[in-house]
Amino acid sequence: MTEFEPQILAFACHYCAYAAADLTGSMRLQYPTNVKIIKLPCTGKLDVLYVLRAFERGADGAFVAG
Amino acid sequence: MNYVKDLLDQIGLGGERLEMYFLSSAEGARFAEIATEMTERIRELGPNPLRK
Amino acid sequence: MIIGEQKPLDEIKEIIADYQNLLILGCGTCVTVCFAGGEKEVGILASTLRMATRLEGQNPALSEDCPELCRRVEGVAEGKEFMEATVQRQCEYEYNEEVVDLVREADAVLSLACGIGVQTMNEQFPETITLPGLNTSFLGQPTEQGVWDERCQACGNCTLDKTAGICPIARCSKSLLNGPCGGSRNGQCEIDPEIDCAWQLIYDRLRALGKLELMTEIQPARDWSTSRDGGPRKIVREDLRL
Repeated sequence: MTEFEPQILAFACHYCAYAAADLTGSMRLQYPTNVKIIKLPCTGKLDVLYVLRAFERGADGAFVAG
Repeated sequence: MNYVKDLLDQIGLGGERLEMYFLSSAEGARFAEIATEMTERIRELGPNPLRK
Repeated sequence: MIIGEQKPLDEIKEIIADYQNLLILGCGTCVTVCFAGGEKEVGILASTLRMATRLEGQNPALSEDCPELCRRVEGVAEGKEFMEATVQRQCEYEYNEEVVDLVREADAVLSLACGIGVQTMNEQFPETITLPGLNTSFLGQPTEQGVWDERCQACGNCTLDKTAGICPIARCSKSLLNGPCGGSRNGQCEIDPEIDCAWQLIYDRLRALGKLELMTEIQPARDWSTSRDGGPRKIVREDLRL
């Protein structure tokens, strides 16, 4: 069996964490490809349902960053 | 966040699959750190049993 | 408004155990405003139940010992389906008409409305059982974000004019009409020091309004037949009937 590669969602605020993630790229820093970023206009836009739907549809993990 | 973690615990998926981080737009290195941290944590927890 | 609170997940799972195809039906009035049974809560509960039943169907112990049985168990649990809908007001037939097709498709309805909504659904759709997903708590008011307090007991005979707009029936632990009692301590109730003494509040407000003389007026023993003592109540307005 191949090694388990988790699928992780990052709910990121456009103004802080998304910009930070952008900077990660500009700085040529490496981070695991397991993390897929979803941009939110603000973490206040996050809804309980977004997180539940993510897990319901098979996401292995999720984090909110703002 | 605690509400959802509690829900995930209650249904047996585990609240530790979800986390909240605070960081500013200048913290590019911190984002990479968080991404690595989460990937490792989830790798240990194993796949989401709901995944088909 | 009517304040409700969602039942614990384990109790809900037990309530719906015998049914495969469920309609989770929210109500867009009181229970939406108190974050207990509106469209959003319907979505969250449906998603949670979908995950919970799927997780329970996959019993790892069974899959190793007896793959066949496991598949069967999985089939049952995974076969559970949850439809979602919310009507404007579940206590009126007209609004529930909108979901008649979904009700026919379901083995049972899990209602997130108050007890009135649940009973309306059962009356309106006698061939389908409607089950309660909420506990109907009381008639109250949001006093701060995330906090609700009881304000009215629907006694059917309002006395707020004599008590400075503060209800002694709903807010005094003993429903005294001639208060306060000897258990009023520093403005708090002897039943629970977290509760404000309603008669202290009434006194303070009457004094502020310059109407303290209302305190000395003795309220005679009351006719409680307009309250629950007279059995289930009913209002008929001949002028409105068709």
